[in-house]
Amino acid sequence: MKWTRLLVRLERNLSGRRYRVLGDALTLLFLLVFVVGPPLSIFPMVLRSWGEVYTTVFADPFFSEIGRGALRWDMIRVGLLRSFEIAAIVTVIDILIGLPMALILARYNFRGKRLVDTLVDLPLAVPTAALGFSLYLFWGTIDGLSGLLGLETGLVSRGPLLIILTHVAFSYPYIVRSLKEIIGSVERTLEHAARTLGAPPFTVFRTVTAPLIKSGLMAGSILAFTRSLGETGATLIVAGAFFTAPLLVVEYRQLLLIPPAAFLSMILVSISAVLLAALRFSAERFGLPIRGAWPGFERLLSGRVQRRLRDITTLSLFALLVLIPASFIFTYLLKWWSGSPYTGNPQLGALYQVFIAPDRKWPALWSSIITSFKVATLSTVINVAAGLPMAFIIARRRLGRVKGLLDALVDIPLTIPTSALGFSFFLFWGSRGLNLLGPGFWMIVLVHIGFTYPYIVRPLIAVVEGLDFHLEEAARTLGAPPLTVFRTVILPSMKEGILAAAIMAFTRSLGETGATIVVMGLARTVPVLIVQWVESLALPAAAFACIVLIAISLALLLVLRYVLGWE
Amino acid sequence: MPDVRLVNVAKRYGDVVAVDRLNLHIRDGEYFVLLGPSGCGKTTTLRIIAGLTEPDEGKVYIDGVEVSGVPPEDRNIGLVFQHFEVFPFMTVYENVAYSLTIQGMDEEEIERRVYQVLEVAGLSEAADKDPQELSAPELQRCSIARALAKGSKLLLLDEPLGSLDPETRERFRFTLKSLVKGRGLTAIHVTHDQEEAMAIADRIAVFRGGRVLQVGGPLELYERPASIFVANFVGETNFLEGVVEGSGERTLVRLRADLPIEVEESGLEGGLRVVVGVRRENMVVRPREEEGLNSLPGRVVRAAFLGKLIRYRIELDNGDFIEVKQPTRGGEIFEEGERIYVLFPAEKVLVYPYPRDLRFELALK
Repeated sequence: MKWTRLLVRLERNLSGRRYRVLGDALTLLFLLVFVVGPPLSIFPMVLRSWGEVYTTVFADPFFSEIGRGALRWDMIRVGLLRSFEIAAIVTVIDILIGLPMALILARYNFRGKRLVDTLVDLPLAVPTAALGFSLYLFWGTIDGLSGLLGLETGLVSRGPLLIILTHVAFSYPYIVRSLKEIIGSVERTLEHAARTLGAPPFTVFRTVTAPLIKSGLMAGSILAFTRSLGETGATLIVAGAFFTAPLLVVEYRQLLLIPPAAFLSMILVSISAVLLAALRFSAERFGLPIRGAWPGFERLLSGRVQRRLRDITTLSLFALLVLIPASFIFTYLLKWWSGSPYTGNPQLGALYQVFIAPDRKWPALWSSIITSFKVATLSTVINVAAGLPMAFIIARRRLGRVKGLLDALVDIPLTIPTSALGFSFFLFWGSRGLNLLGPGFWMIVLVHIGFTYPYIVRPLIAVVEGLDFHLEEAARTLGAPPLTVFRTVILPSMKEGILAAAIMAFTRSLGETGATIVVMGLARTVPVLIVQWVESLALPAAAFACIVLIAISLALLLVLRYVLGWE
Repeated sequence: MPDVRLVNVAKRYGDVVAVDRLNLHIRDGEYFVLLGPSGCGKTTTLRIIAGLTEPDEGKVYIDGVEVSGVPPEDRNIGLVFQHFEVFPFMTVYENVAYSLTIQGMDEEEIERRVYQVLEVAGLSEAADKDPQELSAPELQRCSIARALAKGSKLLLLDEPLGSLDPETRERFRFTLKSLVKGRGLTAIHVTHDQEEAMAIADRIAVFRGGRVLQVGGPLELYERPASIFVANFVGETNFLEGVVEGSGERTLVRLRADLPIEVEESGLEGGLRVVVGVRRENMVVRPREEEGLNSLPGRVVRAAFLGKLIRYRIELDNGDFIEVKQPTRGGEIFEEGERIYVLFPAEKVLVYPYPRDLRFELALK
C-alpha cells in the first residue's frame, strides 16, 4: 500500500504545469522530426541540388546523345499518369462490386453471413506482397485458372491488367468496410417513409440512402485510391516490365540514381498533399444524382428477380476477383510442397528449397521474420507512446486553427506512396541530410514509425473523443491528481481502442514492402524477401514465406476481431 | 463540519455570463438546493465549488479556507453526478474503494469502510457486481456510496435524481435527505425540479441568468416569492395586469376593463402599474359570487379532466385568460362555455410592480 501512496505522490508532482508543457513539446517535436519532417524536407533538398536534378531528369548527357535528354522526365510522367489511371479504375471497380456487398452485409440476414463478413476482410490479413504473388499464381501461371481451363499458358500475364486485379483485391475490404458501417447506421424509418411515399426500393436507395452514406463512400474511396496509388510490394511482383510511379522510385533508388528518385518523390509528396487537402475540403460538396425519378425503370430494377440476380453477381464477383485469387497461394503451396507436381522433381518443391537447398533459405527467412517482428513491435510501441499524447492534444485542447493544422499533419503519411515516403526518410536521416543513420535496421524502424503513425493516432483521436469526460471529473473529485486519473480511469477505458490501433499498425508494418525496400541496406523483412524470391523464381519457397506471413497476420486480425467484439 | 461561502463569484464563457457576481452562504449541516431552469448557472456554481471550473472572479471558502486554485482532488468534497459516472471497468466494490485506494490506505481499513458505506447505500449484496449488471437506481446508490466513502463532510449533488424514473425519484428524495442528516453532512444539491427542491431542501436558492433571485426555506419561497419569476417557477400561478387604486384599509387593484379586486399588501402607491399573481390551487370555480372573496366573472373555455383534478381554462369578462385546477370530487363540474365566477381570498394575492419586460419575467427557459 505504501507504494501506491508514493506512486500517487509522484503522479501528483508530474501533473504540474511544467511537466505538461514539456510533454506537449516532446509530442510535437516527435511529430515534426519523425513523421512529417522527412517528407517535407524533400522540397528544400531537391531545390538545393536543383542543378543535379535538372541534369539527370531533364538533360542527361548520356541520353542527349540519342536526342532523348529528358528521357527520365518522360518516364516519370508516364509512371505518374499510369499510377493515377490505375488508382482511378481500381476505385471505380471497388465501388461497383463493393457497394452491393456492403448492402448485403449491412441489410440482409442469411446463413453464413458472418463467414462472408470475415472473408471480405481476408485481404487485410494478407500482406500485399503475398497477395500480389497469390494473384500472379492464380491468373498468370498454369497452376492457376488457366490450368483448370486446360490452357498451356497463364491467362493474364504480368502487366497493367494484373496490377489492376491485384489492387482491386487488396483495396476491396476498405470500401466494403466503410460502406457497411455507414449503411448500418442509416435510420431504416427514413427509407420506410420513402417507400410509403411511393418510391420503389431502388429509388429509395438512390434518393434517400445514397445521400446519407455519402461520407462513407467518400472515405472508402479515398482509402482505396490512395492505397492503390502508393502500393509497391504487390505491384513489384505483378508488374513485369511495366512500371508505375512507386516502382520508379524503387528502381532509381536501387540504381543509386538519387536525384531523379528525390525529384519523383517530391512530386508524389506534393500530389498527396494536394489530394489530401482537396479531399478534406470537397468531401461534403460532391453531388449525387438524387433528383428526378424514372419510376418505370427503377421499379423494374427493384424487382425480386433482379435483386436476386444482383446478389448472386455480387457474391460471385467477390469470389472470383478477391477471395479465390487471394487464397490461391494455399493450394499452390500444397501442390508444390514436396516437389514439382508435373515432373516430380523434389528439388522444385518448397520443402527442398526452404529447408534442404544449399543456399540456406530457412535461416534467411527466420532472421527476416525476427527482423519484421522487431520492426513492427518497435514502431508500434513507440507510436503508441508518442501518439497517445498527440491524440489528447488534438481531441481535447482548445487550439482553434492549430488543431486543424495538427490534424492535417498527422494524415500526411497516409496519402504519400510508401516508397516515396521511405525515400524521403533515406534522404533526411542519411548522408545527404542529417547524416545520422545509414540504410539498415534502424532506418527501417524509423520509416515504419513514420508511415504507421496515422494508423495509431487517427483511431486514438476517435477513442479520446468518445471518452466520458465526467468519469475523469468523478475521479478528480475522489482525490486523484490528473496523471493518476490517466492511469486508473483513462487507460482502462481506452484499453480496447489502443490495442485495436496497435494491431492495425502492427499488421501494416508487417506487410509493408515499398517503404522498407528503399532504406533496408543489408537487413531484410519478410515481404522484401518474398519479392526477392519471386524475382529469383524460387516460387514455392516464396509461397512458403507468404503463408508464414499470412498466418501471423491472420492470427493478429483474429485477436483484433475478438478484442473489438465482432464475433 | 463545513460551511461554504461564495463571494462575488463570476464566470463567463465568451459573451455568455454563466455566473454573475454571486454571493451565497451555505451553512454547516444544511441541505441546500440550487434551483433554476436549465442554463441558469446552477451547475456552473456547483462545479466552481467542486473545483472543476475555475471562476473568473471572486472567492470560494470551504470551511473558512479560501480554495482558489486548489484542484478538485485536493478539495474536501464528494460529488454525485446526474449520469452516475460509475467506472464501468471496475466492480461496485472497486468503485467505492477508489478514493481510499488512491490515498494508499491499508487494505483492511478500506474493506471495513467500503462495506460500511455499501450497507448504508443498501448495496452490500452487489459488491462484486459489474456496473453493467446494475439498474439505474443501484448505479446512483453506487455513485453516492463512492462519494461518501471518501469521508468528506461536504456532499455536492448535480441533478442526482435526474436520470431516475419519477417513482424512484420520489423515494430517493427521502433516502438522500436522511443520509445527509444521519451522517451530519452539508449537502449542496442542484436541480431544475421545483417539487424536488421543495421536498428535500432546508433552504433553496432560486437561480436565473447566473444570479440568485431569492434564498429561503421552501415555505417562504412558496408563500412569499420575491419576484414574478420566482412565483411562476415555484408553483403554478395566474398573472393579471392592473393598477393600484388608493390605499385605505384594504388596497384595491383595478384589473383590465376596471374589474376590481382587493389585495392585502399595504403601502402601495395609488396609480402604480402592477402585476398580481394568484396560485392556481388558491382559486376556486363557482357558479356564483361569494361574500368576502374576490370574484371574477368569466366563461369556461376548456375543461380538461385529469383524474383527481379538473383543469379549467377560463376567459374572464375583461378578456384575460387564467387556469384553475380544482378537485373533481366535492365540487360542481362545469361544461365548456358555461358562465362561472373565479373566487379567491385577498390574502392570497401576490402583488408585484409592473416589470420592464413582462414576457422575460414569465419565460421559464
